[in-house]
Amino acid sequence: MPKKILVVDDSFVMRTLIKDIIAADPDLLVVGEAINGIETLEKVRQLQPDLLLLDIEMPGMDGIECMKRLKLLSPCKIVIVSSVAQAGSQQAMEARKLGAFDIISKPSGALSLDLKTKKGSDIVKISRRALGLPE
Amino acid sequence: MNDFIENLWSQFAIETQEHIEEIELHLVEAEQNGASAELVASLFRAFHSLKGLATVMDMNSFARMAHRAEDILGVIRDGEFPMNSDVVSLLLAALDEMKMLRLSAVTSHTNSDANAQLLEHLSETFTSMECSVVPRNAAVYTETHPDEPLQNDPEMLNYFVELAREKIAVISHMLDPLCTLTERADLLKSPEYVALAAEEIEQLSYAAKTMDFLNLVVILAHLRDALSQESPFTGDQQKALTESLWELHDQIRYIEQSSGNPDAGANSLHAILTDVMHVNVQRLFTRVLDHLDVLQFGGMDDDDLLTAQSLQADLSGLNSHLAFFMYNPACNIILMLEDVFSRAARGELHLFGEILEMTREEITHVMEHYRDCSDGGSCVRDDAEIARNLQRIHDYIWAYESGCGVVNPIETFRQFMGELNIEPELLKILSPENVRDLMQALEKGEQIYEVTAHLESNEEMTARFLAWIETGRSRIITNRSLFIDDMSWYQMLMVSPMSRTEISQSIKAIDPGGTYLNLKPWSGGIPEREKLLKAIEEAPERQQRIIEPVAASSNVIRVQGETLDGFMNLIGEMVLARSRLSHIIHHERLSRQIARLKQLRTGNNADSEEVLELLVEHRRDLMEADQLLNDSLRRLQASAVGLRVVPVEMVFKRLPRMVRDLSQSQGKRVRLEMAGQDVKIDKAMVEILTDPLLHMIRNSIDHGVEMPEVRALAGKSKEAVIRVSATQRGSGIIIEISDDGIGIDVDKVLDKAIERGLVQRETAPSLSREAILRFIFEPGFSTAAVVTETSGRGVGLDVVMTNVMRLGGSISIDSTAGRGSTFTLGMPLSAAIQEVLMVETAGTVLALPGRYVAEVVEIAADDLQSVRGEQAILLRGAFLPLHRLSALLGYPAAAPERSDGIAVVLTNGSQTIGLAVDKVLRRQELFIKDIQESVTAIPGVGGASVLGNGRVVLILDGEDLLRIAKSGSRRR
Repeated sequence: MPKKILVVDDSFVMRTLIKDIIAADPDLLVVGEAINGIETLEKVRQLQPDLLLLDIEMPGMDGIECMKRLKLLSPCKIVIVSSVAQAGSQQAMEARKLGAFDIISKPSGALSLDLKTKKGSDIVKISRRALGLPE
Repeated sequence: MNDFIENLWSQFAIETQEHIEEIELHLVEAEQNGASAELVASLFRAFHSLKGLATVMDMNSFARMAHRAEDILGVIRDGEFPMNSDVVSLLLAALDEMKMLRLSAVTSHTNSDANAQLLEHLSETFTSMECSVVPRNAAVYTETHPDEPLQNDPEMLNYFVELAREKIAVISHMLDPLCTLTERADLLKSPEYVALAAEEIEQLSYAAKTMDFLNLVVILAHLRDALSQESPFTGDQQKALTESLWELHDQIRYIEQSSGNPDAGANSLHAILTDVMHVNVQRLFTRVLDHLDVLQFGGMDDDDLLTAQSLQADLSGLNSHLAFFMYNPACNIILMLEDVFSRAARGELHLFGEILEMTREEITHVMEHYRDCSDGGSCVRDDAEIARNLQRIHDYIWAYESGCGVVNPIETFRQFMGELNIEPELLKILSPENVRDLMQALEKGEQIYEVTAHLESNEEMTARFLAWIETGRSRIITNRSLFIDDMSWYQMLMVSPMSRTEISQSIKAIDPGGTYLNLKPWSGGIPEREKLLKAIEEAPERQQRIIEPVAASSNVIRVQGETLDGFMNLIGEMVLARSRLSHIIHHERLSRQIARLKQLRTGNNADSEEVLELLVEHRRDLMEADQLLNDSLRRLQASAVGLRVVPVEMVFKRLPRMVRDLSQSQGKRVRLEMAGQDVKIDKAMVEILTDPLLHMIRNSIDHGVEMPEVRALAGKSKEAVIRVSATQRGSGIIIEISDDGIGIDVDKVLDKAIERGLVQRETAPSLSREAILRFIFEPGFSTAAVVTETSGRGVGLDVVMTNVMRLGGSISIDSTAGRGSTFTLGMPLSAAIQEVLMVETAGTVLALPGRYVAEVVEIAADDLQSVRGEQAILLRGAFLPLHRLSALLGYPAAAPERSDGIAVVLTNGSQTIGLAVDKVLRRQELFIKDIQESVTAIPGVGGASVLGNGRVVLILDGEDLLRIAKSGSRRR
């Protein structure tokens, strides 16, 4: 039974990429997508994912508020996928305090063929680690 | 290049275009109207997204440009730097550059070099902006401790409060029917429903756990437990549930107070719980009264002990509920009553009618009091009265307690007094209070005497006697009147500290002749207090269950309503059969033939002579038997009607709630006073009466009762009073509905009636007040405009009138402008038997309801007139529209219409017509058979019955006939 993952990003391009990266791992399954915090809360309630790949900068409800509200709703694990949340930044501190498992930057270099091996592998690796799957 | 990448490129084109357009719009907006924080944030986000998208697609120049812009907006977003026109220009330049870079990216998927000068400019601007900023981000974040509970984070607390409010709204909405145990409750107590409610609770509990609100977690667990009990949902579960909700309410209230958040849902819980309390109180009141009914009027098969037990439980519930709404000594009465019925449930106290009546009175008082309190009215009750009533109940317990070794002192007392030769009838009427007084007197060493006095013949003696009683030390405990030799006497039980000799002397002084006063001699010697007390102590065991509450059960049986209906129908059939028999016996032809035979007899044929005699004798016997049968049938019918009666309270009990709801919704204050609830009406009348009554009360509140301020201005009390009373009069009941509202202005009604052409201006002065007021029952007569001058929900009183008439009732009205109105509703006791006038038309026998028939007139050809093309007869100087009954009913005209004949004058009080018929047969009473819809669907027909000759006869509907006549003439 693969682990259920919800991908949250306001950009279709980003979501498409992340889904593509996750699809490479048979232990992981993207069960849904959301484009902002409000939709995320709804989808978490509906889909009850095991892991959330969460962006920070989103219109409407941002990632931090979403994390705070989620905390009251679900024990779902969260990995932040955002270039805003570089280590040491305000958002990173906040996210960690709220129990984010890890913070990774967004995938890049779609055109270079090493997407899946470099940044892509980060997403899969951290996700597996967050879910307690062997690396 | 694969499809996947191709797809990414096209999405990149769309998204970047969207962001660029948004940025352009926002920048222009910022320059014109200044930049709001929100605007800056979305600009920042848009550049940030552009940067991300470019990074993904390896468009590094584009990404760098976006990054610079994002940096600048970051500083502005944090409020460190204003968004001035220089910045806007710079950002617009960057945007233009990015548009070009995007174009090359989208078309050729290549990364062109960015304008280095512009990049440099952006970097410099950013650096200069940042240098002017005191860095402090780090300082902010060292202050937070990772281990700090989340409830200390005000933002988290806000989110929690928001969530709690939402969840509690849902939870309380879902649990409301379960708490109030309304009919919906059973329906909702499905596993799915419970699961749904439990899920909501679970979610709130999860959030509470996250926030470390551990008390709340425990309470929510209680709530879940209370909910997850097995169906059906019982009173105990309801109690547990309500208690958990109260706990939840308290805890949420605490969170609200400690967080400074005014609404985390405690209010919605409180509203629901208060509702629940009110519903429960209402239900408990009803149940208590129901139990009392069972105890008072119930059948033999009722288990009184069990009923008493339920009653006690309900009183207990009532007590705890009422204590929530009102603190006052009134609750003590409930407490005391609870004691009464808990003793009764243990078989230690006998429930005589007296205590049940007392309970009913007290409950009614408390109910009124509770209503006043919850309406915000006066909440004060006379303490002395309460104390008095408490004493009464206490006395009762004391007097009738029995069982478990305790003897009933009242019975022992009676026995003892009986031995003393005191009139048993006097002892029978002793109340517990009397016995208590007697006991106290005996304990003080006083003596008991029986005195019989005739006080109506000798005034001087009477005055002396009364003065002696008043000023002396003797007291009358109880008395009864009796007749001896056509004179009325008072037999009195008296206590006095005086000795028998002293009493004798006093009496002799008052009545020297010994004619009017009589002191009864003891037969068993002088009563001694010790002897009595000893007798009470040693009262034999057998007295433990002395008398069952006779009135309550032993001679009352319960019968199903349907059984009674069947019984009534059977009697109805017997009445019909009897009249058929009578019809045969009184057959005209037989009479004629017998008379003829008598004339023809010759006296020489002994056989035929004998036959004739036998025939005559037989017929006389039959007539006698028929008369006897008729008499007993009438009595049977009367008592059967009596069996079907129920107290009018069945109708009245719906009123208080309605009055309360209506007056509240209109901001009016109304007190409802009811009287005569115990007047009995036919069971079938309950439904029939309810609608008109509700309608009329609604009418009173809507149009009669003024707003409190208006009342105050008019010098009335702010609270209006609506009185509803029932009285029995002859074979019907009268229900009076009166209010002290604005009343009806007779002149305005008259003006309106003239305006509407209901009456001629010339004839108006001759109209009686009552006649004028009756106009408000006219269809479409806008009562609102006349009565209250508020825009009208002028509910048709004409509808009420029509329905009441149809059922054989009547309405009258009296009103004084500014003082109020009184509607009087007269209804027959039974709706099943109707008096009718039998007529024949077009060869068919029909029954006209008697109450619509004003008179029967003969039509002479001269009286016939044609008025505006319609036939009319001149009756006492006025034209009366004439219709042929057969034509009204749509029967084909069998014979050419006769121009003379007989007309029945049909009226409902406002409309009068003449009905031409061929024959008027007789007036008689008909028992209306179960009316079939197919019959009543015929216009003009209201029901059917079976005649004595077995023929079915249609009973016409007077109201319908008048309507057809009216519309018919309009059509023509």
